[in-house]
Amino acid sequence: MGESRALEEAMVRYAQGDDAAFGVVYDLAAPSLYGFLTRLCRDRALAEDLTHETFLRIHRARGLYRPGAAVMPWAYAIARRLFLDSVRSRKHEPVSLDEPRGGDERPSDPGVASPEAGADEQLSAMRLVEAIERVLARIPPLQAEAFRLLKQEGLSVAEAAAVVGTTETSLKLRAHRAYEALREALGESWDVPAKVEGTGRKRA
Amino acid sequence: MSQPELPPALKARVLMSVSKEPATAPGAFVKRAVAGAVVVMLWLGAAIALIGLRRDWGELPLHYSLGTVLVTSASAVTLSLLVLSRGPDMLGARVKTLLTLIVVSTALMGLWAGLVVASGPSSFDMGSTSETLSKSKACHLISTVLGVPIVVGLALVRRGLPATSPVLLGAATGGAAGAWAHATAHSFCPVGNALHAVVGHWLPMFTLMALGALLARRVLRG
Repeated sequence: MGESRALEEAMVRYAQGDDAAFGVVYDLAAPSLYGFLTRLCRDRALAEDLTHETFLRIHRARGLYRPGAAVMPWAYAIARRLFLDSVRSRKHEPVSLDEPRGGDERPSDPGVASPEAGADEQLSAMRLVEAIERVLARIPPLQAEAFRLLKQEGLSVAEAAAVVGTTETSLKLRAHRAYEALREALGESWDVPAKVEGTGRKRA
Repeated sequence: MSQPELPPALKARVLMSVSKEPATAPGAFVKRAVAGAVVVMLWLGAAIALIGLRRDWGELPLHYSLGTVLVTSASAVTLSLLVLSRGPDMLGARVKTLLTLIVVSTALMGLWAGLVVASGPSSFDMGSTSETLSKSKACHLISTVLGVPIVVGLALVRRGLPATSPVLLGAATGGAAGAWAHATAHSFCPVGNALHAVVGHWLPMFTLMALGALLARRVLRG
């Protein structure tokens, strides 16, 4: 059974009043959600608080859940909104989804080498990841956000478009521009996918 | 894809908060929607009872009455269902769907008001253009007042859920309310005049759409 299916089933049980199912919902959703927020905030403490608040909102809305609905796009949309609210309330300038904040940051991980990889391979993967992060911090936030949702969070184009509140065409265009910027900056070390549509990582 | 390691204490913290925090009851959405529909119907019914049917209601051509009720109700029901849709991922209708249905419903209502209602039977002489505009203010106000509780009601049914585009969803909420108000006003407004139909019954849709969009920024953000 796929992870997203297991998550939906746990959410159905939780929505129907089975309190114990919340633990399963948390276990299945929290790693991706926390990773998403950590990459977005570049601040683990803030990411932790926002993850906490996101689960509280899901809990409050449990009775509104429609059986069969995908849970992760919903969670990402709440988390994204909370992040934007936190940015606004703290009056950060400029409002950038990729603005580095402090040293407690973790780069994104496309291309991270497996534990079995050699030291050279790991080092070059780390360098690539850092280079990607630098490019993502430089390009317009909406383009970086489209790239993150598609490549790092593994959402489909339709899901990512719903999370950010735009059309699929617009999201694909933003992601395409992010790919172009990455290709321009990283050259051959960046393996650009041929089609944006094919970039959605299916949760196993 | 590897993920940053979750802080071990976070789960306990979340579970503790959740145990103390009230949540919506199972099936709350459907109960809210049914309650909302009942309240809206009672509200519109009370308005008709209070104002009364137009005096020539029984003599109106069937195609005129039925057509107007069907067009306005179809727009109202479509937009209401659009607003209440939770979508495939709890984020509601997609941006493109929202835009398309708002534009189509509004245009359809405008065309019907301007072309069909305008040529319908009228038992009220509106006089000159300026008199018509002046007299249409009453219907504009009544339609807007009829729609406000519907905008609020629809938004309350959906509160607590995020939307792909809160502003567009709010506009759809206002459009739905405007369409319900238009459908209701047809039962008591005795005027068959294009300018009156547009100013008195179609334009309130836009007032309500603006109200819905403003309200959505607070209520429909999840």
